[in-house]
Amino acid sequence: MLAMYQLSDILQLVVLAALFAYLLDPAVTWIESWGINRSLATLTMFLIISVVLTITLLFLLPVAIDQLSQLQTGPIIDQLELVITDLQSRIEAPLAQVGINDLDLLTSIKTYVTNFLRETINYVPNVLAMLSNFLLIPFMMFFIIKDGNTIKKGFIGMVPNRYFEFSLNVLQKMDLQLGNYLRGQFLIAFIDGTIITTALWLLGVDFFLVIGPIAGLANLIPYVGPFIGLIPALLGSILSTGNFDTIPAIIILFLCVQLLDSSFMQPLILAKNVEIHPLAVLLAILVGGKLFGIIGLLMAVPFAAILKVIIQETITNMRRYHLS
Amino acid sequence: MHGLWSNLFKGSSSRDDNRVLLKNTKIFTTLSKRQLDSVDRIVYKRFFEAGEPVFQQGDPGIGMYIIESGVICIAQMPDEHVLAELKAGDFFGEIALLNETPRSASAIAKTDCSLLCVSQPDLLGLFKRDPKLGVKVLTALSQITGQRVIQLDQDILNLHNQLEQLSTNGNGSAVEHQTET
Repeated sequence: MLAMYQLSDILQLVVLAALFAYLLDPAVTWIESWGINRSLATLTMFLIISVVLTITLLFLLPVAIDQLSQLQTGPIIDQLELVITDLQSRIEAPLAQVGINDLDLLTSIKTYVTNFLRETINYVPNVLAMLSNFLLIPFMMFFIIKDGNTIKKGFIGMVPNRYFEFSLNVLQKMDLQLGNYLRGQFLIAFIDGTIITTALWLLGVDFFLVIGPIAGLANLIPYVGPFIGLIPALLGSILSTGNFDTIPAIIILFLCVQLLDSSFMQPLILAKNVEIHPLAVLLAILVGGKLFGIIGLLMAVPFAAILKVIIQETITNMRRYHLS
Repeated sequence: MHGLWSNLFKGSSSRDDNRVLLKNTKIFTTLSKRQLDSVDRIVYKRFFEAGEPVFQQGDPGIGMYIIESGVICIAQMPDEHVLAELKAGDFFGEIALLNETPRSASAIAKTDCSLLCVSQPDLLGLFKRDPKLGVKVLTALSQITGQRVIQLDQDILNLHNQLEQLSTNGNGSAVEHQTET
C-alpha cells in the first residue's frame, strides 16, 4: 500500500498520458488514412501540436507572464488595499447600526492571505517536480498512441478463453460510450475557456489569459466548476478596475456560458451523455482532490465516468454472455 | 486456467504463417502484402483445448475465426445437432463482422485448436485507417454473403419441390386408397 502511495506520482503520469493518448487517437487514425503508417502519423500529429503550441505560446506567453508578474508587484497590492478600504467604509455604516464596529478587514484579509500563501508555497516543490515529470507525458503518449493496439492485444492475450469475446465486447462498448464523452468534455472545456478569455479581454479585465484558461478547465468539474472560474474572474475585475462596475457583466458572461453549455454544446457535442449522479460527482471530486490535488480535482469526473461505464458494461455483458 | 497460461506464454508464432493463412482465407485473398500485415496486427491468436467452447449459441457475435490447426464443430443447441465440422484453413462466425447478431450456433473445439480471431471493432478501425482495404474486405464479405443467399434460395427451392412431391404423392396415395376402398 505504501509502495503504491509512493508510486502514485508515476501512476498519475501514466494515467494522464493514457487519457491524452486516448483523446488524440482518432486524430492519428485520421492522419493514418492519408496512407502513412502509424509511427509516422503519430509523429505528424505531435509535430502539428508542437507548431500550434509554439505559435500560441509565442504570442500569449509574454502577456500571461506579464499578467502573472503584475499579481506579485506593488501596484496590485496597493489597489487591493484601496478596494478593501472602500468595501469596509461601505459596509461599516450599516453594520454600526446593529452594534458591530471596527471591522479591520484589511488586517484580517492580510493574515488570511499570508497563511494561504505560506501553505501554497509548501506545495511549490511538488509542483516543480510535477512540471519536470510532465515532460515525460508526451514521451509516454507517443508510445501509447503508436503501440496502442499491441498493448491492447497484450492485455486481451492474458484473458482466459471463456472471457475472451466478453472482454472484447466490453472494451468496444466502453470505447463507444467514453470516446465521445471524454473528447466532448475536453472540447467543451476548450471552447468555454476561449469564450471566457476573449470576453474578459473585451471587458478590460487584467489577467484574462490566466483566468480564462482556468475557468475553461474548471468547467470539467460539474456544479462547482463554474464558481471556481467565476471567483478569480470577479477578483481580477475588482483588482484591475478598482471598482465593482464590471461585476454584473462578468456574472452575466458566466451565466451565458453555462446556458450555452447546457442548451447547445452538451446536446450537440455529447450526443449520448454518460450520466453521473450529483452525489457521485461530489464524492469523486472530494476523493480526486484529496488523493491527487488539483489534477485529481479536474480529472475526478472524467474518471468517475470511466469507472461507471466499466462497471455498467461489465454487468450488462456478463448477463448477455451468460457469465453471471 | 489453461486458457490463460497458453495465451500468455504462447510460442513465438511466425507472422509469415499468419499472413499465409490470412491470404488463403476468402475474405482477405485480394489484400496486398502491406494490407495483410495490417490485418495481422489486429488478429488475436487463441488456443483451445478439445471440448472447449469457442462461443455459445445466443452469445453476441463480436468477430470471426480462422482455423490454423485442429477441428471445430459447429452445433445447434439444445440437442447439439452437428451442422458442420471445420478444419484448418476454414473460417466461421463471419456474419459477426457485419453486425452484432446473436450467434446462430455454438462452436466447440473437437480437437486441440489454434485459431485466429478478427474482431469487428478492430476491423472497422482498420477500415477507417485504410479505406481501400475496407472496400476489398467488404466486397469479399458481400460476395460470400451473396453466394450464401443463392445457396439458401436453392436449398429452399429444393425443399419446396420435395414438399410438393410429398404432398402430390400423399394425395395420390389417398386417392388410390379411396378407390381401393
